[in-house]
Amino acid sequence: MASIGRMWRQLKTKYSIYHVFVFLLTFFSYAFFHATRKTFSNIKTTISSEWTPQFCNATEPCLRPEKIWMGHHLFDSSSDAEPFLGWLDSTFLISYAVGLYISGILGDRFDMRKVLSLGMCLSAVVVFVFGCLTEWVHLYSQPFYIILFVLNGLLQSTAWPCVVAIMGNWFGKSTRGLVLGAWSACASVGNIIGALLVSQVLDYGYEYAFLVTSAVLFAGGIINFFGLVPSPKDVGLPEPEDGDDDDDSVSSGDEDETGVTARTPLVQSDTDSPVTFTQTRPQAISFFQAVCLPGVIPYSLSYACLKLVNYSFFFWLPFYLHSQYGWKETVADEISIYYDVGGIIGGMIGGYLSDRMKKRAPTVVTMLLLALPSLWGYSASPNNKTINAVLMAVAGFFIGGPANLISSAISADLGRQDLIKGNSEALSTVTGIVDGTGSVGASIGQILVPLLHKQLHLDWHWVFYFFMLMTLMTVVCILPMLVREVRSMKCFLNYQLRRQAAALVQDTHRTDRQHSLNS
Amino acid sequence: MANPGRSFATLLLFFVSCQWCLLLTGGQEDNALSLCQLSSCRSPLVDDGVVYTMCQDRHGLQVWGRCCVNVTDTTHNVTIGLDLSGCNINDEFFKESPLLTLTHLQTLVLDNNPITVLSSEDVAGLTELNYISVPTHSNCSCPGGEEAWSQHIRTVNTTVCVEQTSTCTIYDGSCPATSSHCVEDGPGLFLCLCNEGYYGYKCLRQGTFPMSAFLAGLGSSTVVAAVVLWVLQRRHVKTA
Repeated sequence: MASIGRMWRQLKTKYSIYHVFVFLLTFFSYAFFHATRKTFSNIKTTISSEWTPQFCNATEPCLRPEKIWMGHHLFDSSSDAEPFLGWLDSTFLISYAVGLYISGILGDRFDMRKVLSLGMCLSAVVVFVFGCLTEWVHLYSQPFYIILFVLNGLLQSTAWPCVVAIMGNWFGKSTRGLVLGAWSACASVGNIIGALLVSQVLDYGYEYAFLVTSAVLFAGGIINFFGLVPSPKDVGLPEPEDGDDDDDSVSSGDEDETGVTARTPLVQSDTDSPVTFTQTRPQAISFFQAVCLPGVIPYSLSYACLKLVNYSFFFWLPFYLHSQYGWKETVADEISIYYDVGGIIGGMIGGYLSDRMKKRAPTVVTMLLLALPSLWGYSASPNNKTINAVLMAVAGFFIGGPANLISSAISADLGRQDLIKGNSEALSTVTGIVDGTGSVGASIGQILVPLLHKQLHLDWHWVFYFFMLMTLMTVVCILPMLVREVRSMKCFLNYQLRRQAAALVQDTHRTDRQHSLNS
Repeated sequence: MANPGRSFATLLLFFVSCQWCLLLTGGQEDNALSLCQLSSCRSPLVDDGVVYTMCQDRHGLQVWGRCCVNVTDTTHNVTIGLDLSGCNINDEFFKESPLLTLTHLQTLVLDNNPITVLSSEDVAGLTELNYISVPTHSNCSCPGGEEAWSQHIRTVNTTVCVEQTSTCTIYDGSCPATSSHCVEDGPGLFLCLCNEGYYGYKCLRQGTFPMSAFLAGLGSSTVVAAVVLWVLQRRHVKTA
């Protein structure tokens, strides 16, 4: 009983009401962004139907009246519309990747609250124009759709760097893994919200699905503008510690009876840590400097490989399940939720372990190495939906977990490392670089996987091998970081010390023997 | 000085709109009338023709040029029989689809005319058409083809088709089941109309979106949330 009370007091001193609202606001902001993306995926069949005339040939007569059945001719048939829908997806991914680099830079230079709110509101407007306005004025035009999607990709990219940076500002390295692991559920929650909203209003017409999700996103932008505090400095609270040494001093054991630690908020004058009431941020880091920060390139490249696996897995899953087991495409949607769930749990557990170890790379590498057999295990799944779902969750745990970690907690760590602490704002830029490179990897995957399957006529198993290869590449990219982190780990240092001591003892024994021999 | 100019302009406007009015309203009747009094028809309605016999048989029917017209309803004159045999009609005649206005036409005779093809679009909507006689030229056959008529009587000069079949029964299942239903629309033609409650392109839409309720709800909750959060969070923000 007493320990729970102590834990609660610990929590209350470590986190304030600001932390709660920052968590919730950033969580739902990103969720709403994902909801608008999910809207498009879920209405693909309906919008394809809206763009084409009713199918007819020699055996099936063309339906009349023409105004109801044959009036829209953006595409001749739904099979003609499919490649265009694919183009829209690819265009979005590419502009999203480019936008991530730009938004990362913007986030560090301007007020992140404003960047995020503006991004949300403008993206909502673009989505509204794309899905709702074009339908209301019956303007169906391919180039117009593409332009809108490019815009949407650029605007949606403002989300991730800003929300991760804001979370990184509020949650220090000691808890970042667990908190951000739980927080990463925002993407999946957003997918669920999007799917729910769409299913409720799709009967009224697909344009209302876009109206609802874009209106909700716009509302979120307004709420963020009035309620989001991007950094503790804005309200006079101390920034969380990010260096390794300071973590030891504020670890859970070191507090006095009243629960007051050096990080007690709202009590400024007694503590050593300088608290600034000014809004003058440190200068934003330049893009080139950010890229050259230690750890940024390895983790960016690794995330590119990992996001390729993540995205392509989802993209290709419906085809695989249909061709392998004859299951409908809706089954793929349901099963992918298990992957998401596995990923969230993996992110949380991996985050917690890496928080305790105070090192991220060992956890990530271990999980990724375990991902290889889990992928193989999934490819050998029997024709049973329950077992398939379980194997999917396991694969999600080992692949999605590290992906979550890299894109959130590790990006935040890299952006607030000792090298630049207090000297420059880099959090948003680094997050943008890591996620941007990841999205480039995802776009490549979107092009490669269909190529591998269709052009080279490879069996599905070869696609799995390709995924395992990319997972291995992810590990290879992180190896430099792993080596460095393992070297600095306490247990490794202890091990080295003991070896050195043993070598010393051996030396003294040898010299003793020599002496005794000589004398 | 401006006055005469202005009154002239209004007079001109009145004249033009009058003509335009007459054109619109009188159009249909003119069209029907002009078919009955087609200038290329040299002779009047033949005594032993189907249309003439039909007109003699029943009350309230009157011969009018080449038509048999139902005059019981004093406001409209409904043409139920049309005999255009020997009127030198060719395929050009059907370009403007002149027959479509005769929605209650039951008998159509087109013998002795240089028509090569008669498609179902030319007689679209004529659901009551149950007797049609067309010249037996190389390609010409009854509109809608073999399946559209119950009986075909083919002679050297003419082909007579009697009794339209139910196109909806033949093409059962063509209209998307849940959202639309089939309605007859003439020989070999059918319409898929939206069911009750469905509307829009391909009858995809159902119900009316509660726009005002949605906007009101979202707007009010946004304002409330923004105010609450501003009070709780940003009120303490120090601006440089």
